[in-house]
Amino acid sequence: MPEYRVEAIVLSSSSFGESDRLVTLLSRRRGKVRAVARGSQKATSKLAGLIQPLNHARLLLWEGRSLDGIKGGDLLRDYHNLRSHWSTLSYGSCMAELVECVSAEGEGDEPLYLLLLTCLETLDSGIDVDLVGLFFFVRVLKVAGFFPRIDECFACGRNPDGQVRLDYSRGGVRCSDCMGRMSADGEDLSSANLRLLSILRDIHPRRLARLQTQIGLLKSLRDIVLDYTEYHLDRKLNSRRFLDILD
Amino acid sequence: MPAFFAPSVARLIEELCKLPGIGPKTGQRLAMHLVDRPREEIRDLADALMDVKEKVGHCSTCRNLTDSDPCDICADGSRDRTVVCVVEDPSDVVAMERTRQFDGLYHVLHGLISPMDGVGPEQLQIQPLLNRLRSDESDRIEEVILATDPTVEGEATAMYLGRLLGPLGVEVTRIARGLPEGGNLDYADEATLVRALEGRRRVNLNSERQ
Ligand SMILES: [Zn+2]
Ligand SMILES: [Zn+2]
Repeated sequence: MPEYRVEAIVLSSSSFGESDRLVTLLSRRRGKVRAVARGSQKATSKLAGLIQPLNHARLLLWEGRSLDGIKGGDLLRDYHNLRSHWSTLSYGSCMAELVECVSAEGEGDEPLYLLLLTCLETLDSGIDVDLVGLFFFVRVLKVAGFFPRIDECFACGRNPDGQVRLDYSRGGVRCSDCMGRMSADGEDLSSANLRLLSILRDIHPRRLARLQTQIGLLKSLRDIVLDYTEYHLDRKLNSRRFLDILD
Repeated sequence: MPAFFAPSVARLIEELCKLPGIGPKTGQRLAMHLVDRPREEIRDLADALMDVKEKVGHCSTCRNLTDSDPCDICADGSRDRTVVCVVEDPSDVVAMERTRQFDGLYHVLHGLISPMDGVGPEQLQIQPLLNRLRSDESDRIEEVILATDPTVEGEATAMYLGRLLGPLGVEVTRIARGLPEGGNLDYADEATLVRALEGRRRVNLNSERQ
């Protein structure tokens, strides 16, 4: 059977038959890969530790007729610190679930891969957890190609000033002058929200630590960004409600 | 495939294939085996199936599967009532009992918190555990051992319970990491399980706020 190697992040793993697990990976060069990890539900399995969700690993896979399989590999990072705290684990879970939704099989997407990798590494450091989480959710929209147009009002074309309305289906904002007209699915964005959204769209991740923000602002923008994301995915993210469960 | 069998045999194969880990081939093999067994044996099997459905329920204290309420473990006066070991499912109770090293009580959650699958704390038997700790029994429970699997879901559940139980004034401990990561508790060999139990550590309740 032909074999191949991937560098990948484990997005999820679910039990499959009596002793196997079905694993979803985001690989660096091949996009999303689904593969079976034979015997990985047994305690003696060497694969079990390797395929834990959010692991970063170099894996050896074999090509199957309908489904590929994981033969073995080396763990690069297990983000132990991220796993040991509720807030970082819930953000990590939500990121992995979102990536599983927006990634495609057989299609490499290195920007998405590097975004996830960078954010997992930053989360693992435990600094600015809510900011890193929001940064990820904003940048996924950009990488996946449905970031809203926020630099001009889609109705009148002017630069928005003050509060605007984010129109979900139009994927853009309506300025306060144009807001009165019929209101579709959407949410109001304060000028502070809008400014932060625009900064996070463009900022280099290394400069995140210097950004001064308030937790309340972060969470209100996060809620809007995730509502917008769920609208475009046409599904709810299971792990979203875990973000604030222990606050 | 069942179309080539007599309808009653095909129906049996179909039912067997609904069981976990049983595919068409195994289902067919089991059905052929059952067809050849003497009538009394089949009656015993059918009785056992009905019996388990009619008699087995959850122990109102520990939520383990039991024929009687409270279950034999909860009713056993010789066990150490100051320690409660929290596990994912009934098979973990069996695994712990096999070690003969633990003589406290149990609490069975019937699942683990799984953010990615959307399984939240309210879907587990956590409220009954809180009730236990707050009831009359509580002045006797001194330690709660979190013995969930060393997987993402097991750790998430332990973290959640650690935060929830901390303020109740009971000592909360987590079994040691001696178990292979990603493994299932009920597959671990007894010696490993005993080592994990002996090496348990106090859960650091301040670890969440970074
Ligand atoms: Zn306008
Ligand atoms: Zn009981």
